[in-house]
Amino acid sequence: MMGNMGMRDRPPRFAECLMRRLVWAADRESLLDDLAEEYSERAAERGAKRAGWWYRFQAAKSVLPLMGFEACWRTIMLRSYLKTAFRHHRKQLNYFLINLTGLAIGMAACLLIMLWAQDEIGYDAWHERVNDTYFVVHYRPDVPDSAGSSVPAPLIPQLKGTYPEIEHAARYLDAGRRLFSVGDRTIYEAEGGFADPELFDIFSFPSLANDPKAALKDLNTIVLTQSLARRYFGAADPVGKTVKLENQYVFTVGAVLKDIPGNSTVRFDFLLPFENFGRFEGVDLNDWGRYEGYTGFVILNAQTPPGSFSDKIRDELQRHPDAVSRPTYLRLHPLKNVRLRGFNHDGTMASVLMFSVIAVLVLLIACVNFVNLTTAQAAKRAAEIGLRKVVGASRTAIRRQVYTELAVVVTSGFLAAIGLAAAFLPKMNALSGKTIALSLAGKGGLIAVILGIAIFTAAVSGLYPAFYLSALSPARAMRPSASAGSTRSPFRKTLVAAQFAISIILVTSTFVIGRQMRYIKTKELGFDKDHLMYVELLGDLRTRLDVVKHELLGHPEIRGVTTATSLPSSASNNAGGLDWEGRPADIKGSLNFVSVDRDYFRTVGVEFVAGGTFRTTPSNQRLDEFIVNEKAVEAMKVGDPLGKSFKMWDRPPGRVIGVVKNVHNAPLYENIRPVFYVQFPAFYNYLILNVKGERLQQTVAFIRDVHQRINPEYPFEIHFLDEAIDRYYQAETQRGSLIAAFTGLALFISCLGLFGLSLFLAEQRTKEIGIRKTLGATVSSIVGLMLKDFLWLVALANLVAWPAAFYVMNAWLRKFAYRIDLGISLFLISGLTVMAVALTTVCFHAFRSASSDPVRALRQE
Amino acid sequence: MLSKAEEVVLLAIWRLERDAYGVSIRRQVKKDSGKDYTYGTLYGLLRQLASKALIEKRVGSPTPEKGGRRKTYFDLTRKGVGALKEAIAEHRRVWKDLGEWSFDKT
Repeated sequence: MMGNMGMRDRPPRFAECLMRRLVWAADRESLLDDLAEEYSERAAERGAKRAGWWYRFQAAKSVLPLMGFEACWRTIMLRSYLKTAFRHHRKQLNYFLINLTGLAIGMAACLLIMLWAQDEIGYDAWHERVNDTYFVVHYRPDVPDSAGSSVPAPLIPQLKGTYPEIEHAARYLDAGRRLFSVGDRTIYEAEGGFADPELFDIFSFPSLANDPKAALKDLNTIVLTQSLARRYFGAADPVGKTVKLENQYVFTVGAVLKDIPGNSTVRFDFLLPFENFGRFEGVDLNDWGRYEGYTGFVILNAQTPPGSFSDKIRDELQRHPDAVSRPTYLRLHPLKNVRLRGFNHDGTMASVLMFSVIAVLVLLIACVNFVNLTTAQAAKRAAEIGLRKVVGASRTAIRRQVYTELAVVVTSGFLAAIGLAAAFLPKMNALSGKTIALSLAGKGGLIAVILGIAIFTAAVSGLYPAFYLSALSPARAMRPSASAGSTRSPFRKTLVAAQFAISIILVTSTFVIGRQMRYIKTKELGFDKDHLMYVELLGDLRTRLDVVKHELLGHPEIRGVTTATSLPSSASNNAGGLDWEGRPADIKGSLNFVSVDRDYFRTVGVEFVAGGTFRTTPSNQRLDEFIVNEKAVEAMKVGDPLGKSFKMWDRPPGRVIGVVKNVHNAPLYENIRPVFYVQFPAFYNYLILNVKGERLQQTVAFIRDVHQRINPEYPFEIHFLDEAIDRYYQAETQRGSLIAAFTGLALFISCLGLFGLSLFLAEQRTKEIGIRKTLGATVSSIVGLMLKDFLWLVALANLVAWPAAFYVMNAWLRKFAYRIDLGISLFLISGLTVMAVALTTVCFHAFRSASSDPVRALRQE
Repeated sequence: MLSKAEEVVLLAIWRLERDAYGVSIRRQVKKDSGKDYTYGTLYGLLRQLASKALIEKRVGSPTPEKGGRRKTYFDLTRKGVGALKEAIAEHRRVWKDLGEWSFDKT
């Protein structure tokens, strides 16, 4: 036993370690000493082994009580922490409010963006079989990014018949605007579709009345959504009621669906059996050569891997000689990522990423405010924290104290943020064209995101202050002259500079986007876009065109009337199978075409470079005269085309009789398209009018009268061309205003932080300023002194921000074929704007303290 | 109001006068009430008593058997003495005229 003397003093390691871990710091040493003492006594009396076991038992049995006491203790301490935190914030109400506002706005902005992003990411996800659903898309192996969802109508039934791997297949076609008549009401409905019944096996559109799949099997049945049904039939049961379409086809309402939510790729207000498209438009639905925008959806059975099936159908179009003239393959494309990635990586993913980055940046700016204001005040709190340490508070205790203070700010900020987000959600919906509701039902992901935002905020803004404050040494507290918490902290300076760098990047982007959009909207397009209006050529308007034109031209305000296939702003109809005199063999006989009448060029305002307008009478059989634009001249590669023969399809050849100037016949994302014009009345779709700007209302009333008289079957709708052009850029404009809004918020939050920081500095330098003033310093010299510090920070931020902003905006501008130059002036303007805003913020306190009475300042203590 | 366990520990410290530290308190409690508290429980109770300001810590002089380290003793504060007085008075009030015999069936 005596030989064990060495062993006796060493209790079991693990048990000792466990106790050390569990017990609180204040009693740690005495508890371990006590245990060791009793252990060695026991070891001396009954042997080390039994003493060792006793020790282990003691440790094991102590685990629960120790943990229990600790938990109990923590709640007691928490109450004390909370009380101190509230007192602290009440004492520093200015800073508390600054932090609160910043965090609330930052988190609200973040929340709104996350809601938006979630809506984008959750696109189509609510369809039960979204993961099994595929588009059948065509693509050209020789052309990158050429995938498209349009397939020939007979393809889908053919695939379904050939391959047993396909569980369900359905075609869908956007119906466009259709004329509805119920009772005496006649209205255009814009959102509808033609579909096969199996569409309901693929998508989960919930039905309110009857089985929509069964209903679609009857060719004379229409399926309506709830809101459309209500518009026509009110509270009455719509099933069995009749609707007349296009003034001639009568349909019976067969089923009513719940309204389709905003985040669905396939959306409609009414649905007609697919075959009706053939009936409406006189189109042969067995024609393999027609691509009308028919979309095909399939669901494969569980055993079939989509990849290999995709390869299997690749050459399906090749087997039908009239399907395509060039190699076009088929593949499957999953529905689930089509919104984000598109068919050719052209989905909304980039926007989602961009806005998520903006959200995080805005939140970071708010967090930086908190970090800066909290650590800047360290000097003020040094005494308090030093005293706490002297009476025995551990670093952990102080860290917890700081965390509690933070938690109070973050929690109140968070609650305010939810309120703000709810208040601004309608505004945000209006800006982004979405219909997001702030409901948490069934949105586990959203709840996680919201909590994530709160935790992220707390973690990012709390960690550093907690460490910083708890590391203050008590000795420092006793020397209040120590310069803790001045602007001289490089860390704080870096943060402020980073904050402003982010703001400058955002402001520059907003400026660039704003300027580019303004450029696009005001750019001369080459035709008279401000005076042009158009009416769709329907019913008797088409058959009695001469009368219509004659009557309209009788009005003094109407300068011209013409007819055309498409609006001057969009020449998107491609005609293949062309030939012209001197066509090089390697140039394909394919150009865009627009069918117009002889008054088109004068009415729309397109100038001739050579030759003149049509002279013959329009005819669908003889196409004798062609007019081309300058781009087409380049594309034809024949030098001067005037007088050369030109042949379209199987018609006898005609001649090129004129060349017109290029006009922007495509959105400004793209280059001007090569176009030829021909008189082909079967393709006239629009009546285009050039109207003087004065007394517009009377003129429109006059046009309405003419329309009602000649074409009473159809409701009168007239549109302005510039509005149609604006729709090209609608999505971009929406994104631009969202970015502008969040930029404003970011800048505001940055300034809020700067406001707080300058308030703090002004407070700190009260005495210094007092002394300076007694010694004769002027107000302006003192203001200058205080501004200097911030000024060069913002200047530094500019240097960092400009290259970043240039890079980002250059990438953005590249999607426009016609764009502004990224000159230095744009950067200077945005940099100076931010600097001016920052200076104004700082000036407020600088002036106040510079002009305060020095006597009062010096009497402070 | 003291819990029963707090009462026993407080009383043990009083009995030990100026020699109350972990080991001796545990021993005294076992002697008085027969309860064998673990050190974990004991220190939890001591912490509670300290937070109620019924006892206070005193650092003793360095002892050779502890390798020159100081022992931490616990002393009753005036408030602690008061709490004991209150406790005994309460016992008397509650139990008044009762003894073990009161619960025997007759």
